[in-house]
Amino acid sequence: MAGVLVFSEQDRLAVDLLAWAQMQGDLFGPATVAALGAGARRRAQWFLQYQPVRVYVCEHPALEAAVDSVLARALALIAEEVDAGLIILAATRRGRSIAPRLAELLGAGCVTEAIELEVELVTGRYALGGNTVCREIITTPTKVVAVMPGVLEPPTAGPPSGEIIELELALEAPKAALVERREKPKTAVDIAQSERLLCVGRGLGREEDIGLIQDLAQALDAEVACTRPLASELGWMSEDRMIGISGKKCSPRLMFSVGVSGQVQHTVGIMGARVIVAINSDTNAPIFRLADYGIVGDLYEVLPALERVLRARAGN
Amino acid sequence: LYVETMHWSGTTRERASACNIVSDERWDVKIVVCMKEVIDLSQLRFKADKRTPIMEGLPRVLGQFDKNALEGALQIKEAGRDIEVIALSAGALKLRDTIKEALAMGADAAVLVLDPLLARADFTFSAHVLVQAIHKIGDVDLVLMGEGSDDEYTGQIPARMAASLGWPQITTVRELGLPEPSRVRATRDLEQELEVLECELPAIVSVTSELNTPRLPPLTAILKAGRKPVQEWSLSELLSEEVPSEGQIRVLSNLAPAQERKQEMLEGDLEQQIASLLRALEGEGAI
Repeated sequence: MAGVLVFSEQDRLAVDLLAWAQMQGDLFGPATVAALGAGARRRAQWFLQYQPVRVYVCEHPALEAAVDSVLARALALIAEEVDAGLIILAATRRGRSIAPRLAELLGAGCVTEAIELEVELVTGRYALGGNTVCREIITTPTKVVAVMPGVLEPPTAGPPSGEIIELELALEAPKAALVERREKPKTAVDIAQSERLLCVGRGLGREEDIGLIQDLAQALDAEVACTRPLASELGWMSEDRMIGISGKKCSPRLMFSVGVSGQVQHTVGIMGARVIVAINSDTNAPIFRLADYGIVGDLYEVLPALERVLRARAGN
Repeated sequence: LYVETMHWSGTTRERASACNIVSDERWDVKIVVCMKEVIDLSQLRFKADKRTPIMEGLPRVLGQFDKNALEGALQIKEAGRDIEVIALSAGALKLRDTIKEALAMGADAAVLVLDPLLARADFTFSAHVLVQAIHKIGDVDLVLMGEGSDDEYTGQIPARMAASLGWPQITTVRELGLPEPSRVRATRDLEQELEVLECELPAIVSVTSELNTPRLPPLTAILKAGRKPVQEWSLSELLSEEVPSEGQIRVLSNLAPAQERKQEMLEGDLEQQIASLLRALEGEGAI
């Protein structure tokens, strides 16, 4: 009988996918989740509180380093084992690397970075640099979908149920060897929790001008955030202040976006903001289409003026 | 300069370099950079409904992340080894002009798969075409490309090509080097961590914009680019099958999202704009 296979290297994300699959009832068949690599048996026990029909467990030594190509091979073998018509992964960067490789092995169509996943398996994802949402369906019999983290509702845990099945998979050692994994450096601030954010992008010309941003942030009582180029390319800010696909997803009550063009890689991280104010010198910047209030102007003129007014207001 | 008949013999590394399209001498390492021709998104405009993108008449450029990949290849080349860098692209005839930017940046040669039918091919077929081109070029050690394309941004091509070639893949790479001619070392940028991998060549690597800042070619290089070798293949020279009439994905719509934001552009001079902004934010209880 056909079924749905669910996988993420992050267990927390896997259960979101599992819950979605279970909500579809019999549409795709029973939902099974794969626990692969180091600690898989222990993790399988944890999965049971989210009531999958089955957890497939494999602790094959080839999976220990969690190399994408081996994970894709293992999932392809399990998909065949359970006759999965649908395989859902979380669209982390690793998931986005595994999903198309798995799809190629299975001869399956694949959609990555889905921000919408509807009952009839209509997916939506950003295209044209984030300007559009492309809604599409996979036409192959076997389908692979990688869903962006945070798109699906997290389930609540219940009494454990489901079957744990240990698999012997014929896997070869990965050709790519893991040298090391290291955590990215962090600062004390978690912008994902901030009520107010002032986010700055490439419109800021020089690193010395960050003072201008910090002054306004102080007047606004906001934390400073940035787009990817300012952190990971220019190194003007630490990467944990970065908003977007490779950074944080933020839901402040008020967000000022300054000198940010509004590319998708960034804007997926600000969708949860309640009110967005955009300040940009380019009238056509996509950010204005995502903003509630827009000011077209040079940030070097707008920011000091705004700060003066805010400070005068606070003084009253 | 060209070897006109190039038949892939089925093995790559043992074979003599019959397919070296730049010169007759054997290069130590051959890097192919896959580069996609995309529309210039900075020029994108919408129809009166504000949702339908106007795709016609847009200038075409090389994908920005693919240029990071080319820059990465050029930096490896300039580290002093005997390395050949080939820009590979599949698309319609306009590519002949677009690819000159890659040659001007410093690619030694270009290989173009040209066919009007490629305009309607889906990305899975494009991956298949690129794989066949890699086979036909022969002796390829390292394939580089951007983590995704500016227009579709599926990010599927590197992994699909790697699976099809049976090669390892290292995706979303922000640091890249060849510690030895037969070995790549790459640092992947994942959400919370950095992952360093090493593997024997051949391999496929996709890169992020953190890898480097692509060079702007000087005018002299742009002028000389037209004299660099460009190999053109038609689809039929590369594969026997037809372009499938339907891809693996059917697009239902591709529109700008319906607007839930107010999109209110503030008017007047700066002082008035700021005053109305603060009034509006107060009204919303945001400040």
